[in-house]
Amino acid sequence: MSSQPCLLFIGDSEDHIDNLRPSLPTNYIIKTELYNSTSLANKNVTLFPDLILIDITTSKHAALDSCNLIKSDPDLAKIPLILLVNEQQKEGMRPYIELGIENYIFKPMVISTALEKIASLIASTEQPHTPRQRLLYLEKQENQDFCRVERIFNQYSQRNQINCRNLRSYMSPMSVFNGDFFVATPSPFGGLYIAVGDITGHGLPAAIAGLPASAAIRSMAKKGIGVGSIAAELNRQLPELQPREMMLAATLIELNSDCNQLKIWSGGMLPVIITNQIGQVRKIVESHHAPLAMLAPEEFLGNIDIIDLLPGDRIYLYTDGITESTNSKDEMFGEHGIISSLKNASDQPFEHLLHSFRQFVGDKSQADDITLVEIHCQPFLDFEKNDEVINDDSYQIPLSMQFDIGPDDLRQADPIPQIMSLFRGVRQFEPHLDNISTVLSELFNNALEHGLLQLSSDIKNGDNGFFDYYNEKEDRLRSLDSGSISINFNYFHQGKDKFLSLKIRDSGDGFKVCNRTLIADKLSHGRGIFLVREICQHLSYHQGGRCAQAVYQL
Amino acid sequence: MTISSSTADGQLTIKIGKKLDYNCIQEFRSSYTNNKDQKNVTIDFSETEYIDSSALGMILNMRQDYGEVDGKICLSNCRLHLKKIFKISSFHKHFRIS
Repeated sequence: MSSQPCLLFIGDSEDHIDNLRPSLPTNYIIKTELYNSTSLANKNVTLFPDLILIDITTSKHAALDSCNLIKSDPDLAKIPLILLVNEQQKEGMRPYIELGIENYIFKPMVISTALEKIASLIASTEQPHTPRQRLLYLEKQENQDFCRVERIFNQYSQRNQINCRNLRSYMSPMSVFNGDFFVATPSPFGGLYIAVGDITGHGLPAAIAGLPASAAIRSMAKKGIGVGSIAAELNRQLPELQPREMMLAATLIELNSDCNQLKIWSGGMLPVIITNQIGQVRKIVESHHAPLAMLAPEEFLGNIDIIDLLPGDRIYLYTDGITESTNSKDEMFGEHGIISSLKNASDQPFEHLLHSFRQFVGDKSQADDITLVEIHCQPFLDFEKNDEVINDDSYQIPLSMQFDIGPDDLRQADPIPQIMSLFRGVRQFEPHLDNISTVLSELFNNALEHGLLQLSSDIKNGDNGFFDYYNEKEDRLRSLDSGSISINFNYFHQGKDKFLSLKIRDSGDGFKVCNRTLIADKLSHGRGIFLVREICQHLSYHQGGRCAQAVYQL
Repeated sequence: MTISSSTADGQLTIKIGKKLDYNCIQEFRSSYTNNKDQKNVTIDFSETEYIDSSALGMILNMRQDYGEVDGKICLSNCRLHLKKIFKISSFHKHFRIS
């Protein structure tokens, strides 16, 4: 329903509508058409009001004529029509009813009844009722849907890619929606995962099928799962999510942080081309496997190729949109097109390749989605910090938390994972969880071992010291009957800087604090405190070693 | 079992689970005590998200048991955070880290 319903009144004076006007909702647009106006058929009627009120007046025929005109015009017939009729005219209503009027109101009008009837018919006009209106409505709806879907895909494809100086890519879908997909996402080992794929078909259906695949790749990559296992999992999941005939040809690669080793699983794709520093082909890695979602899980093979890379090598991944594109003579660009272009490239092979491709194709229209990705092999540097920056934009109100942990609690469970799981919900902490976890557990273990359990690190100096120490820890923890460790967190701001302060206090006798700044190689203890000092802005011990306070800058 | 080990061609590979901390001490030690004649050792951290300072102690102990030969033990598939901890602890002097 439009936010401003339009009500058309037809009568020989405006008296009745004037009676109603003050009570009608203020957003109603009210138009009137008098019988004495020459053209009833009808300026205002063609504006498609949402409701028409017709007053049967003394000039009875004028009202019937108007009704007739409206109800016999297919474009107007569905506009609801209410008749205003007085006691005497009731008898003559039959022809109106036969014309299909929707309702009537008796004069003199009971305002509340009239409003109720008007409102209920206006509400029923939610759906467009003339063919032209329907067409306009559908067109508008389609445009809106299209824009929304496009926005969703844009957001997805942004998430699928990262800024990284090693990586160049070119994607050109045949229509707005892309049946090719390209995911680049950091590995937890400081390297990079890249997936380039081609889904059966083009356009929206293919693009939709790409969404769960790219989301699954990202989430498995985050866990550091190998490319062969990622492929196996996609092969298992995709048939559950998409029509049977849809398959995904894909090349999945993982590069280590030094970018000198490539792990690759490839199914149904064109070979991966690796060139050396001067653009000559060093290796062509064929795709050994079937496309994803084609084989049953028990037939699927997840074996991968592992290839050593040299500094300056370049890896090219691409879809058949490149190789199968044709020129005016219907010749295909082919793999040889790529290889020969790279051979003749200057210091910018990617640009050169794209340029030769465009020249080859000329003004022939694109017949498939096109994707081309280049990876320049040099250690990855720049995307490692991306995650941290992304998480930095929201404001976290200051917070503090306190935990008091007694002997039974200590025996029942390791408190660190429980505390860390609470922190996982705090957005500001997320990029720092590894560091926070290290600081927390080192300080906590010190408080437990040296404070509460009174273990001396000297035990570790014996021949089997390291093991004796932890055996002793187990024994003493079993028989511990009093004491506690309290942990206090305080997140606060100082100007633009954000800090997390950790205070860990134990009820033991305190211990001698190790102040070394470098680790002696052979010393089997003291490393924990050293780590904490390196990670935190500040670490101090108070109360004779019973209370440690660390301040970590986020 | 969170730690598994295998040998092939004079190479011992020890695969660590999600966590390497003091709870794993015995398990870690028994993963290599019967394989001390292997030429090279790789500790695979590909699934490991967390280590603590006692893990550093365990690895140094292992190096001692293998005669303190630098570069014999490789710490492989380390996540960034693990690399950072190894770096802070100057492990790169004695271990190959990747």
